[in-house]
Amino acid sequence: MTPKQCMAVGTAGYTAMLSVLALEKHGITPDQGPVLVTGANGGVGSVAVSILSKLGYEVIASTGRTEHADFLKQLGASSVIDRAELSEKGRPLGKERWRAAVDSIGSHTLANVIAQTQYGGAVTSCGLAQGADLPLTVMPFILRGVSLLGIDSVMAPKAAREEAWARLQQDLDLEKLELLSETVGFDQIVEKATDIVDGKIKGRVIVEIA
Amino acid sequence: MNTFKALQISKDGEQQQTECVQLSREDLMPGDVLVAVEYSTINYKDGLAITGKGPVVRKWPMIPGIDFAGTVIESDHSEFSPGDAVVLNGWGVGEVHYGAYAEQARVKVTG
Ligand SMILES: NC(=O)c1ccc[n+]([C@@H]2O[C@H](COP(=O)([O-])OP(=O)(O)OC[C@H]3O[C@@H](n4cnc5c(N)ncnc54)[C@H](OP(=O)(O)O)[C@@H]3O)[C@@H](O)[C@H]2O)c1
Repeated sequence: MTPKQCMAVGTAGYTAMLSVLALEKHGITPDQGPVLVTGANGGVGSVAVSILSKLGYEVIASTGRTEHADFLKQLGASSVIDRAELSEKGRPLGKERWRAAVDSIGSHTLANVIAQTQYGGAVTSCGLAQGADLPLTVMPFILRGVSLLGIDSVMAPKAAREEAWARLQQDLDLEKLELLSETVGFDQIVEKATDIVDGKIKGRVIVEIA
Repeated sequence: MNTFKALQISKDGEQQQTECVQLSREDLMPGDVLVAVEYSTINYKDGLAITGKGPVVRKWPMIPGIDFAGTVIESDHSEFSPGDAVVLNGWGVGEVHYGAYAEQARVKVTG
């Protein structure tokens, strides 16, 4: 990958890879059932959709911006759901809809994702785009054996970083990376930083510094 | 290059300000590798740092930016030599150590 492509991946993309690796280590395989990706139009989400589809998983993409459904399908999503289905307080256990999930949203979304995970499945948690709270019961854990896997990129040891970047080289389609990223200049950093907090960025933003 | 541009955020009481400043190498924090930054990116966390909407920055003033790719200019560390292409993700850069939104960055090698 070129320096520019590495920044198209960035912390968000490398965290998506860490999340997929965590699911693999838990024994999740494509034949077991679909994998849900929340915040699918975001940085972590869009890269996660791309990687999982390349690995042969059936990907369900959850987004608040369903107008970009075609974009998500180009990245490899099989189906797209409206995030409103997951964003309100839900029941302790719901219908089992996916085998695993990559979440970067937290709060009610993550609670509902866990409550709708199939028996023996696993969910990764790396973010708090909706909130840092997790209004959950133990039911999915004790009745369905669902696992919650924590993901940190910031202080991840060197070996984990090397593994993730090696796998990105192998499992991230560079055409999809191009499709999901835009390039901006130094003077647009503040504008784009404001947009990302407002949930207005699609995919990843590369900044040309020099 | 004697001076280079950087995006700096500072705090005056509760008010946070962002400005483009000219820095020299002496202004950077201590570290063992000096990098000419070519590309960076915007992560959610960078958004929180710049807008002040989340407690990301823990040292003031700060140059935000948690990711960079560039070329080594100077190195005191055996693993890196001038001319090497490098990528950095996280490790507290852009939070407690001057980060990616500058034409040059000096970082510490860990692990
Ligand atoms: N643990 C770590 O090491 C680590 C590393 C990287 C990122 N993160 C965290 O992961 C999260 C995502 O980062 P990112 O860089 O991918 O950010 P991003 O590009 O802004 O993506 C976040 C996405 O979440 C969705 N979203 C935003 N607000 C929401 C809300 N109120 N309710 C439901 N969905 C919402 C949006 O997707 P849709 O428009 O598709 O709905 C948005 O695009 C952040 O919280 C970030 O801090 C953590």
